[in-house]
Amino acid sequence: MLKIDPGHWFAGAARARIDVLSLYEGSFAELAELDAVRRSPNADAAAIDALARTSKSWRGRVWADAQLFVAEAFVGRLHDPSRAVEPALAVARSDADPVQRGAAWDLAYAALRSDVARAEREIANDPRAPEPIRARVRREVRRRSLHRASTAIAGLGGGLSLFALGVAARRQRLSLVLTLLQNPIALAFVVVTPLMAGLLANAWDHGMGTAFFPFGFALALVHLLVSAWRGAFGDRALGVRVAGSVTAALCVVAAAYLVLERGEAYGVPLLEGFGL
Amino acid sequence: MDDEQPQLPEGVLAVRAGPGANCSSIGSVIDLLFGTAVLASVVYAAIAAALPDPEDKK
Repeated sequence: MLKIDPGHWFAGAARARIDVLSLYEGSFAELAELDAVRRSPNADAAAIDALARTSKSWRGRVWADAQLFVAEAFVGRLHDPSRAVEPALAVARSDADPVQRGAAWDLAYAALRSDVARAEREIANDPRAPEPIRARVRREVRRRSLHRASTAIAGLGGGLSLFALGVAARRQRLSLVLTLLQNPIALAFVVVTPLMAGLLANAWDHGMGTAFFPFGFALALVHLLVSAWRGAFGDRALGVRVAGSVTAALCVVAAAYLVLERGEAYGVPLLEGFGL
Repeated sequence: MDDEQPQLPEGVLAVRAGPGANCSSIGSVIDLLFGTAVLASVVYAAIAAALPDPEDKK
C-alpha cells in the first residue's frame, strides 16, 4: 500500500504503525505477550505477577514498557504499591528513553507515598531523579519531621498540664487555677482571636476559615496549660515560670502546624502557602 | 502597550509568583490572618505563663 498509493489514508495509518513497531524491532514476541496482558480487562494479580517474572529477562523498550505496566497496575487497581517500587525504580535508573524514565520516577514516587523514609533514600538522595519529584519527597520528609516534633510538643504540653494541675491540687492552689481560667481578658483573647480571624477568612473565601476553629480549640487547651502552670508555679522562681512560658509558646506553634496539616488533608492548602 | 508584559487570559488580572499554589491575593490574606493569630497567641501564652502570682505583684 505504501508503494502503490502512498497518499491513501490507510498508507498514513500503516506508516504510523510501522514507526511505532520499529521501536520494538527484535522483540515482537515479547510485545505480543505484553499486549495480551495489557489488553485483557480481566488481568488479575496472578497475571501481573506472571508478567513481572517473565519480563525481567526482556531487553530494550519492551522491557521498560512491561515494568511500567506492572508498576502502574500495583500502584493503581491492585492497591499494592510496595510491589511497584522495584519495577518503577529499575526503569527510572535504566537507559530507557527520557519519557519512560520520567513516568517511572512518577510511579516510584506514587508507590512510596506511604514510606517516606524509603522515598528519601531512593528518590530524594538520587541525583538522577527529576528535581521536582526530589523536591516533593524533601517536602514529605520535612512535613514528617514537623509532624513528629509537633505531636511530641503537644503531648508534652498535655502531660505538663496534668502535672501542673496535680501540683496545684497538692499545694491547694486549684482555686487560683480556676480564677486564672476565668480571667475575662484571657478568655476574650482565646475566643475572639481565632473566631474573628476565622470569620474574616471565611468572608474572603468560603471554607478557608475552617482551619481557625480547631486552632481556637487548641488555644483553649494552651490557656488551660498556662493557668495550671501559673497555679502550680506562679510563686516560684523566674526560671520555672519561663520554662512554662516557653512550653506554652511552643505548644501554640505545634498546634498551629497540626491544624494546618489537618486542613491540608481536607483541601485547605495553607501549609504550602507558608512554604512548608 | 508595554511589549514586555505577557498576555494574560481574559478575566485574569495579575499573576504572582510565590512559594505555593495558594499565592493568590486571597491566599496571602488567609496566610496573613493565620500567621497573625498564631503570633498573637504565642505572645499571649509566653507572657501569661511567665507572670507571677497576682498577690506577689503587690
